[in-house]
Amino acid sequence: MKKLILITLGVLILPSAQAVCPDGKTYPVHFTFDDGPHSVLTPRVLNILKEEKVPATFFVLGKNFAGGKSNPNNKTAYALLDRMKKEGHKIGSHTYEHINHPTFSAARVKENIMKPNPLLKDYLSPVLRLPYGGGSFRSSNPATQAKNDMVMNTVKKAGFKHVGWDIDTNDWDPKKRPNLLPTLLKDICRYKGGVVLFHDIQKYTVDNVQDWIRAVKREGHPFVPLEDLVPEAAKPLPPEACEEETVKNVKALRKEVDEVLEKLEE
Amino acid sequence: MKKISTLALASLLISTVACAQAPVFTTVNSSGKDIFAGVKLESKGMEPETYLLQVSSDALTSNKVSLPAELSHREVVALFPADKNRLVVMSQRTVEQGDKPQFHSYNPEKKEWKKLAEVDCVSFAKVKVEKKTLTLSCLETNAKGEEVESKKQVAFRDLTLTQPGEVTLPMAKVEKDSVRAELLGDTFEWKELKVGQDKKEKVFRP
Repeated sequence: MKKLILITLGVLILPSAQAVCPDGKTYPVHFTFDDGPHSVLTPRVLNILKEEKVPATFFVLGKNFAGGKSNPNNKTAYALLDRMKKEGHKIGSHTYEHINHPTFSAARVKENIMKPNPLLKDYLSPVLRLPYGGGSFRSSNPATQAKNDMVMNTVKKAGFKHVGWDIDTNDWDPKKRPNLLPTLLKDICRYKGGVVLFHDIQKYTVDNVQDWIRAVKREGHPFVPLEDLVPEAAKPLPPEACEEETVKNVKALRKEVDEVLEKLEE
Repeated sequence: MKKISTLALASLLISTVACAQAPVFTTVNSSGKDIFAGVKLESKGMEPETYLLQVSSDALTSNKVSLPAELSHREVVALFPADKNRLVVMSQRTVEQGDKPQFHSYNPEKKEWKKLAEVDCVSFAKVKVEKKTLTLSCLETNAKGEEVESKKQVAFRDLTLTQPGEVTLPMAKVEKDSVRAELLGDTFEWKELKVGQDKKEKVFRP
């Protein structure tokens, strides 16, 4: 009887046993947020991540930094990048405009991949996520595959590792939102954890992400930094990412030297 | 050696199978005497593959309808019956982020596809169906961080939609005259389509 009471008390007092996947395991998880930053919603996401002590990655769009730091309208966006960096999150490129790259010319693809890099060079890790995943998949259609190869070669030449996702939550889709959490928990088991895709420009996501984080924690899955799943994320941005800017700088320097030499000759 | 290579082959096969998910139905509707359902096959690292499954409600037999190449990686989001037994197929790229939904007509008799329109509305669940138009209730988060609804309409000149009304997507069940069809399984992971006419009934898998 005494034993029974002790067991009952133990069940009541001790934290409940972790619910794990059907295989009895838990899996590492990393949340990522695309398309931002959003001046109102991204700070809310950062507050939640801080409170929950969860490291995340933000794949930001270059067009949100058009004109760079010299554009006064970008003050908030850059302040958010500073905060992300300070609070231990990773920042990746989501290219400049949210386009489906395989449907564009090689020149346009290169431009859209390279354009954000000089604007974000102080913040970016060498990780990039293509909008719509366009180009990152293998296709049974040879023509589609050729276009996808062109896009992925451009990403690689720019010095980026493409980071897709293991779990797409479809948080942008009101049709799928009612099932988001149960599907997410099921997918963590199905795909053995990994990178999870959200959007920090969706009010619905920001309103609910704290509940989702807590639900994942309740299941016993640990939140890990991106570099645990993608080691390349720990490296600095390579010079080839800002190739165009380097060429521009060298040209400007050469012009200055020429001018000085001309003056000296005079 | 032979045993090792057989084992290696078997493990490769198992890992390939493990990465591939079973195909699922995405939506269902009827047109004329036939039932049509969208099918999607997703495998990790691969473009999603999509097609339609056409079920004759008379014979309860099915056949696969391939989509035109430009639609083969897009999800069939909804199907709307139109005059002359035609079908309006609404598709969207649903990977990472939705794109602008596209509308194509399909004529099962002539096996003809025709692009009709596209509409700038990424997030939606409610659609108002009228004879010549579809109106989508679009949800968008604005700069203030509020979710706002706006209406986006797409008009069809060359066909007439035959099932007016307001629908909330996804469409997983349809009943018309004595024909009924229903997707079975977890929402958006429907693995079976049950089609019945009068007392006959049959379950189809993609």
